[in-house]
Amino acid sequence: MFENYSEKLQKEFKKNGLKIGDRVILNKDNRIYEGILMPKSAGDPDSIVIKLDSGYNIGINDAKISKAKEKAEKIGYKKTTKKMKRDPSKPTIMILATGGTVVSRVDYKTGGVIPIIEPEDLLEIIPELSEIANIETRIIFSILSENMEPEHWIILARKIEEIIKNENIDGIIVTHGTDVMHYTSAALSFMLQDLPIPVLLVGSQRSSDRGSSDAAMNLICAVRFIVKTDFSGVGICMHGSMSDDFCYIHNGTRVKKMHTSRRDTFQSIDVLPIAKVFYHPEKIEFLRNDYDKKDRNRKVKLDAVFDRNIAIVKMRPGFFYKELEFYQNYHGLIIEGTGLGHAPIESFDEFTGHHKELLTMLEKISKKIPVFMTSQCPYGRVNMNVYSSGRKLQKAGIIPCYMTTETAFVKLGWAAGHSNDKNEIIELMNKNIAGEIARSDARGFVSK
Amino acid sequence: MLAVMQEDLYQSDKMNKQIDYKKIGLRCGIEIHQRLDTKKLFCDCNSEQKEIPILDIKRKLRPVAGELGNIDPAVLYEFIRAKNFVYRYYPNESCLVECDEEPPHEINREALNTGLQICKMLNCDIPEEIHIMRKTVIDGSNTSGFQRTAIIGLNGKLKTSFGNVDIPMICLEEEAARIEEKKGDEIIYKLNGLGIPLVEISTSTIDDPQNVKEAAETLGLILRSTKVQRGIGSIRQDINVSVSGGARVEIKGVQELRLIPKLVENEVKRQLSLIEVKKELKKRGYNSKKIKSMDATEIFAHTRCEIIRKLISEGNRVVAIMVPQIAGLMKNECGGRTLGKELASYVQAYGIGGIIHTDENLDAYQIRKEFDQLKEKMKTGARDLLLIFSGKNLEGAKNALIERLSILGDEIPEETRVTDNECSKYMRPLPGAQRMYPETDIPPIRIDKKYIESLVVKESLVEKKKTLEFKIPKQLAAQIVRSWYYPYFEEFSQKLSLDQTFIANTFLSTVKELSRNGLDIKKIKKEDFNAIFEMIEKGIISKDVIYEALEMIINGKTYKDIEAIYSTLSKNELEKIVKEIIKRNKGEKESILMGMIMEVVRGRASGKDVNEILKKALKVLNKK
Repeated sequence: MFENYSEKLQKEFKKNGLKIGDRVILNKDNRIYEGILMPKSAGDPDSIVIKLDSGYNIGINDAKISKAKEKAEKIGYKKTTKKMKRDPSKPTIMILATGGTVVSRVDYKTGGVIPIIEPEDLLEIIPELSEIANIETRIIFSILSENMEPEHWIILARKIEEIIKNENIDGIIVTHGTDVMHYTSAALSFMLQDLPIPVLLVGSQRSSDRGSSDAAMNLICAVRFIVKTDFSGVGICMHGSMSDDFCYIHNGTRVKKMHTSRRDTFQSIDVLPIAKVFYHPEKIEFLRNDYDKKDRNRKVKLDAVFDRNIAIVKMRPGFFYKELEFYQNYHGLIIEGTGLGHAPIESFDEFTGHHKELLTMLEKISKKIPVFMTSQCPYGRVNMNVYSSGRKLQKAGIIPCYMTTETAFVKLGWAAGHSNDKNEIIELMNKNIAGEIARSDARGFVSK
Repeated sequence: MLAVMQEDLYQSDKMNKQIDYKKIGLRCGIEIHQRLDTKKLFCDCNSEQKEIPILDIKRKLRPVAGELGNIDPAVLYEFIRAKNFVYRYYPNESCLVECDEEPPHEINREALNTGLQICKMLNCDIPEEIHIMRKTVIDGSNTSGFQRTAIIGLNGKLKTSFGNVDIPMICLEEEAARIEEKKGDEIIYKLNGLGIPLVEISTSTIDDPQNVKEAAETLGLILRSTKVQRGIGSIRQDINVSVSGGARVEIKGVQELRLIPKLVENEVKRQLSLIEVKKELKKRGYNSKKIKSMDATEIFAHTRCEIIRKLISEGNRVVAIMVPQIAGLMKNECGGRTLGKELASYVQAYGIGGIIHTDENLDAYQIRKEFDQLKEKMKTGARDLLLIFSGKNLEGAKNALIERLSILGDEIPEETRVTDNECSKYMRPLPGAQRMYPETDIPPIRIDKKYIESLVVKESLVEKKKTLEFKIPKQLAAQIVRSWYYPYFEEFSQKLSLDQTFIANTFLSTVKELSRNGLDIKKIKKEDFNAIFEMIEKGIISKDVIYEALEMIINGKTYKDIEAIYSTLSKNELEKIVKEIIKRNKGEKESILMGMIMEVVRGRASGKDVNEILKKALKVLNKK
């Protein structure tokens, strides 16, 4: 209750029999402030935070605190008690929450942001959803996405397979933090094949306690896309522009988070998104037709394995071969090279003399484990035949990889989870499972 | 057909005697929003508003959870459908923060310091931790759906001639986006103003309108002693007014402080007259439940009344409302306008032009025939009032007017009004308790004693005015201190040895005259004033030609050009001219000669000098 307040203050509060939410009086050198004692989330631990009657919070130091005569405000909000029943005339969509607050409400009394999990509460905020489908919700786990581990992907994939097998539903939405959503979408694309119904990942860039949040529109578009089209497979549904005009449905293996904060941060890489889902007025426009179609009779293939001894190493000017020593005992490596898939392995003068060591090291490693090359350019296909550097790397055993770096990492971990045999892993990597290897469409490069 | 019942007409003469403000329990206060002359509050954009927009972003805001409680989906749908916001982006004056595409940066320290200086000058307590809050606003004027605002000072005091005025709180907050245009369902907002730092100062109640004016003026001077923006739109003043038995009303957009006493007076009159209407309606047995409304478009389809005909031809419907028992009251005095006009403002707030009602001369509108039909249809008695209006947003307008009429016999509503010359008109309901919660993207800001002490507070303009009154006439001192040019006046008065009254007059009268003659005074830069004053100080040109010199600057001429035309004549040159004119006009009177010489000399010599030389020359001549 009193986290982030100093020990001294915590003692003071307890001595006076105070709780968060009590109406208190602060006396500082005979200046009186009255308000509600607030929880502390940041700032000086010695500063007492109260909410004044005007609604504003202030922090006061070195004040005597005492309980005020009037009654305390009740903290926390009342939840609805209505229970939802399935309408048989509508399709049913299950929303799986993995953490964060994609949909939330504000408790004005404390300023806390409370995640909305129950479908009844969700439909109170976004009632449009109930017009389109029955909504049910489950919490799979509750972590901030930047802390995700490969084990979480396995749990998620298993859970989805179980739900598809046992529940009669028409689609799944996974709410997810945006930081690593494209890693998860790639993982699910490999771990769940032949999906009979779509699995769409949805996130929000603007917290959902505010009127401008992109959460509602992303969710609405995802639900509409699932219900109104024949699409099946894994995809990401997020804003397509800075305006609230349409969302893109991206193939889950060829998408990246390109901007730290913009709504349209997710962009398909070198390919067109699958579709545009317009918000108001409603409309769905397919940009491609090479996707799997829904088939409720199809059985989903669960293949949820992952070898976590895989790393991504980014090349750069000044890279020193010894940095790779740690990875010699790993089971696979993704080198994120420069340009077309290059690394500093050639020498020209006294500064570049050590480069040949890098080539030697890479050769040594790739004899034991599969080493793949992607590019740190977000867009574009690697090609290691064009320049001598690339050719030398290939000769040393480095394999060109035509996926994004993040997808390559996920797929390599998944492939290595199947076998210890280098060649089997390479074969699986080169097989196009879910569209992760694709032709470069000229319309697939976005430069705003 | 329509009989105006004389005995029902309220005698408005009662209102014209002097109002005893104490007796009626007047309470009024001011709220000032002042823009600061710094970069924006939470990003590095300029606050100058000089750029041209380059792109539009379209958004829909949704009501925030916790706001609407159990929402009717139809209401929500309508809300969202109706609210299409377009945000116009201006380079250098907006960035991703204004687009709500990037979290806010840390608070602008210059703005914070300026705000704290103002708090110090008003003797406020400053909290040790300043917490930025989010105040929910979903009318589209903030892209994020909220305004960032924080209390920076509490319990301040303003010293005035009539005593101390309490300043309960001072806030530092973001300016909202301004509306560029409303087009059907769309509202276009400009992002260049969004995020400009504002200092908000509210006073506690003052019980005399003259004192309100003085308080506003003094606050204005204190603000101008710090880094605040100057010019139109840089300061917004609202006053709130209530009387016993009335309601607290906020009047926004007070541009000229001298109008405050009249505005307050009219608002008081309005409330008092509404209290009388309330009593009258009780006497008449007013029952608001008997108010009826209907769609009357068919009846007016072929009317000869041009206004209505035009509106119908544009596809608008006509709403008719029958209000029992209030016939005859529409012409009552109601705070500087009639009760009819006052009620009309409730539909005008929705964009409707006005109402036509049975207390008016329907023949003048050529609409009597249709009204007779309507009266029959709506079973309107002689004591009942019938009114119609037409336009878009009919549903909203109808509901607002009916709601107002429903309580006409019970209470005066609290509301937000906007100035309309010396009166005010309804704008919208008073906002409820502000929904605020912490802005968690910005950690609380520590303010310790050392930091407050380090903030330099220069002499306030109030004090400067007092000092200046010893040097230049009192009236002039009061004016120059309030003028936008005061900083220039201060600098030049210190730097140059010119007479301060002359400098003050240049900025007050000469500049005003130039402007009145249609010249663009913005073209005169500070360096120009400096150069011309220096020329006068050095004696290169006479101060009599200050108007002409500034005019030449506006017309793009250089300082050299000014010198060429107006350089002061040397004593020799002047003597030569004088002698020449005397020679050519032998025997002329001195005064005529003066006139002739002055015309030739044309500002290149002062009248005093010419007179001296002329007198001397004539003396010499007469001796001969």
